[in-house]
Amino acid sequence: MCPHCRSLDWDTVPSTGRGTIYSWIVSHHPSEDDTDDRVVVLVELDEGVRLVSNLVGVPWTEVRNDQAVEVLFADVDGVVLPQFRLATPGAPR
Amino acid sequence: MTARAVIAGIGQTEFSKCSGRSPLQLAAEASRAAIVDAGLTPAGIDGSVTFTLDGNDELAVMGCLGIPELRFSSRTRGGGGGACATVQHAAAAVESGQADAVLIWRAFNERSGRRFGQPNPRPPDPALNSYLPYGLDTPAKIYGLTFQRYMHRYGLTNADFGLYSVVARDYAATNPAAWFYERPITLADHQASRWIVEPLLRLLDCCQESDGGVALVVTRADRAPDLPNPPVRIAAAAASQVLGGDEMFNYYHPDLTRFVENETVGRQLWDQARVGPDAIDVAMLYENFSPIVFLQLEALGFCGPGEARDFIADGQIARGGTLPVNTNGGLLGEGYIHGMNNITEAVRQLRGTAANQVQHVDHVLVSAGRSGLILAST
Repeated sequence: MCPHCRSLDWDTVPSTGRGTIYSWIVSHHPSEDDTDDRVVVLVELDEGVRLVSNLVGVPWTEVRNDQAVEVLFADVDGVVLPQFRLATPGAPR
Repeated sequence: MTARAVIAGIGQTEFSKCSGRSPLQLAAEASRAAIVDAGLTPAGIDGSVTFTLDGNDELAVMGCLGIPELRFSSRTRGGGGGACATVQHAAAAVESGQADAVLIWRAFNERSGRRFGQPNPRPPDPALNSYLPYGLDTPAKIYGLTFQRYMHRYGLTNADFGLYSVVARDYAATNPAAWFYERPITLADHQASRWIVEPLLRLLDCCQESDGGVALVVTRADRAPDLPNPPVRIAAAAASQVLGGDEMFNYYHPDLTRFVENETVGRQLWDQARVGPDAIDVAMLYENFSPIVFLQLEALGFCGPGEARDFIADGQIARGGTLPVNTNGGLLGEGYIHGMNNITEAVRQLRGTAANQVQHVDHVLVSAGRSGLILAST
């Protein structure tokens, strides 16, 4: 239900899949061995909503808040999930 | 709120990593101690409050203690954020005449049983599909994603959060009930502890996983002449849920460097108690992880936005500071009974019986983030 008008008549809006990194952490399993540094990001999409995802293709030491990112879809443990990578420089925003 | 409800009794078990007994027994032991401390018998208890998450059914606790009848029972929403709401519920019941003496308990084996710090082994709730597949499977990671924005906004490092961790362990080191009793740490120890969530949290930024139970008795102020211990006045009791919020994945308010639920709690507390931050002698601030102390100091107005780091570095919350914080060692240093052990410490400070007793304590603020109390001497 829409919390502003109480309507149940909802629709979807396509996202460009572009946004910026609002915040981020490095995820490791708390008790099992894992070697990869998995970066969890809270992405602020250009459409104004936030989405939890992963940042791929860059070491975590190079992650910065407010960096521009773009979506890709990848197989993660047998499930296709939205993932993000640093946005291509010069790409339209 | 009219000041007709008081906290008359407190009780607790030891806080350990392996209690060796059931959560129900822990609840019963802590409750028995609180009832005795209040000068009552189980027959005098006619109300109960615990957490929604508490695994001990009211009838089972009644069965242990021999409470003949409860005419008021409620449970608070959420987890530790609702710790202070237990007292709000109890005070509301007493002040409206729904109950004369309310028993509050929280008890669990949160280390030797199901560990809060580990991924939940139960089948995941589909509502977590937006989070679990990306790696957000522990509270440290879930909350870390919020704290990182704060860290970025004010240019802090993990060593800044360590400043709080050192203070908490300093208080714990002289509190015999604390897990870190006789084990103070230095900032170097903090920085040598292993990473839990880079770049935010090391092991020594995290609360304990504890086994134990805590209980309180809230009753009418007009019983004060009969009470064996000085009653503590409930000067203010508040809770807050804010549209757009989320219990743990609280990622959708506009500015995550502010703890908006805690700001709302603070405004209610100051309004009800008719005092401001300057009147608070001791503050007990819920800490699952050290950064949340920074957020609460700012949300409650003890310092301005972004000023918590310097407030702590200047010694304001440490022994002898202007605002001693978490004088039992807090949930990092004493134990993690879901925030309830911070309420019992507030009562002890007002009674004058705390292990690290602060002098001239008239008002203690207890914040569990989404709920809070101002307790006062009578």
